[in-house]
Amino acid sequence: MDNPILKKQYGILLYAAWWILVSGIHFAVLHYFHKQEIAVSVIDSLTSNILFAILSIGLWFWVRYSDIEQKRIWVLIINHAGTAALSIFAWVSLSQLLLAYIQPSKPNYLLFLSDSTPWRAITGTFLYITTILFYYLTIYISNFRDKLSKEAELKELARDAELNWLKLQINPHFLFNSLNSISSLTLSDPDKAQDMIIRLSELLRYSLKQAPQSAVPVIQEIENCTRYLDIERVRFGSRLTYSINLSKDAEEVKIPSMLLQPVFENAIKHGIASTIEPGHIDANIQKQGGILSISITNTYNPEIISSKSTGVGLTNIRRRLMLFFERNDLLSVTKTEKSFTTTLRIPILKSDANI
Amino acid sequence: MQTYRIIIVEDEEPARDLLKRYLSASINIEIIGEFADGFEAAKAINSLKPDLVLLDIQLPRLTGFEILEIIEHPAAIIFTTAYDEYALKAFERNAVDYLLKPFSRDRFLQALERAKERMAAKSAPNLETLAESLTPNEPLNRIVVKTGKAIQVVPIEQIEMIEASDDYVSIYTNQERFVKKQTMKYFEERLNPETFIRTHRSYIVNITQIASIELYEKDSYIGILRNGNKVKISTSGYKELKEKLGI
Repeated sequence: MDNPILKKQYGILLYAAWWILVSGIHFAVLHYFHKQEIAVSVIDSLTSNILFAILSIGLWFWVRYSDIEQKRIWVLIINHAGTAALSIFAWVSLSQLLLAYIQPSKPNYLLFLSDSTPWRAITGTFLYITTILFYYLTIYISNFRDKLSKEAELKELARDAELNWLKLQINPHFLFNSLNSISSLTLSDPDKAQDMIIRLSELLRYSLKQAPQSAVPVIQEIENCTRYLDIERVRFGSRLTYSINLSKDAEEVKIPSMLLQPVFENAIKHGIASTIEPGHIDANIQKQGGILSISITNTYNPEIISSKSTGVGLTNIRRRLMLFFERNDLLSVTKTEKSFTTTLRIPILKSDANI
Repeated sequence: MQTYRIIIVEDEEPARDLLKRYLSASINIEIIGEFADGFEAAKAINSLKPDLVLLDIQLPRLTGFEILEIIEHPAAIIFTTAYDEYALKAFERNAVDYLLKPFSRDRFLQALERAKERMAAKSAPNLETLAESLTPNEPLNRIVVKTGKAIQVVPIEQIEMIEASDDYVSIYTNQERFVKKQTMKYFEERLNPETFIRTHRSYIVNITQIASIELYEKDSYIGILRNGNKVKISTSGYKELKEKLGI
């Protein structure tokens, strides 16, 4: 943060106006109460106050250094008392030296000058306090504004996250195609249609129930993905087969909710929907030390060039892992001639608490 | 009475079943083909010349939009799709109808009637404008071209440059040159601007392919590509090129 006085043009003007006012009072006191000559009073007032004005600008850095919120109050008071004593001493002696140098031929005034030391020290203390209070007030106002705008920003981020969350839960393409399949099955195979409606309802209920940033046992996530894959099997028929292998000891490990369905959606999109050849999706979930390793592999036809760039679907998952674990190395992909594997390495959480 | 010949392009079996079921009660129609794959569908539309195509958009190998780009036969088109934002544009142009899944039998038959009127009036849709108006303004990852009877899919990273010639553009890859009826503006808007630069009214070039740039005459330059091909560079194109290449 820069000195608020020097930052803007009107800051300098206001500062000048303030010192003109102080100088005016200074002059009036000298001339009317102490009966000094006009010229003598003007020179005294200007010399002292210009010196203090320059000193005040330098005090800014001292105020910045003595942050009210970071230092204890008595440390702060000692700091300022020391600085005040030093700077007031410097100011009084410097201005007295200068004034004596400028107006040496006036013995009356020189006498007055040495008598006025206590008064100058008191004025200096007053000016010092005014200056630092002004600076602290500026810092306080600016911090307050920052805080307000930061809060607004955070609110916006949270709202965005919530919107994205909703979008993440329900992929419209999947939803409407599934409804279309159901529409067809109601005519050709009502039992199967009913079965699919139930599965779809369970899927939607599960995803609506999950709060953003909550963690669930991986077995629940897998059950949900099985529902998802079974619905997709109705759409794609013999084009889709899948196998999921979840090791017994890993079942209760918690992972961010709704993390896996998008990975399967991505596998369907690139491995199944993009070709009419039968494709297979294979998932393996097991504990490896402090890590839950989840790898999802889909077959794909290497001759097919996707109409959109690949990997977009995984960006969201990467971002969620980043939000959750503050790490960006938990998702990796490997590609061979005929298969595409997405691997998630989930740190096993010690507590059950939400993060 | 005329019989209308219909091709169904749909990759999901239940959806195909439903279309057939809806069609089964209609008279004077005949289903001459069903395709689950965009590639096969495009070939079949060109060879079987149907009157009407029921066309899904998300398909294996070629999208519905890409099929429209390469078919020559002016069939009437009814889109059937689950979700997207291009419906309005399709109506503005020449698609007979645009059905959002799931749709009712009545809604389907209404579209079919509309198609029959269109076919009876023999008003051929302008397929190219339809394709162009529908193609989402998204970055391209591939370009579909026709060479003779064959359909080819060209990944964009293989493209070296695109040259305008009248209503067409020539697309150059390392080994081949393809001709496509399309505008320069279309490619300029959809190719990754980090790699492809419109250096001239008639040229778009892949900057990774540029070997050298030479002054041609006052205020105009010639870019020489790795394989020796040359592209014109205008003053503004030169500026942009300099910026992108960091020279």
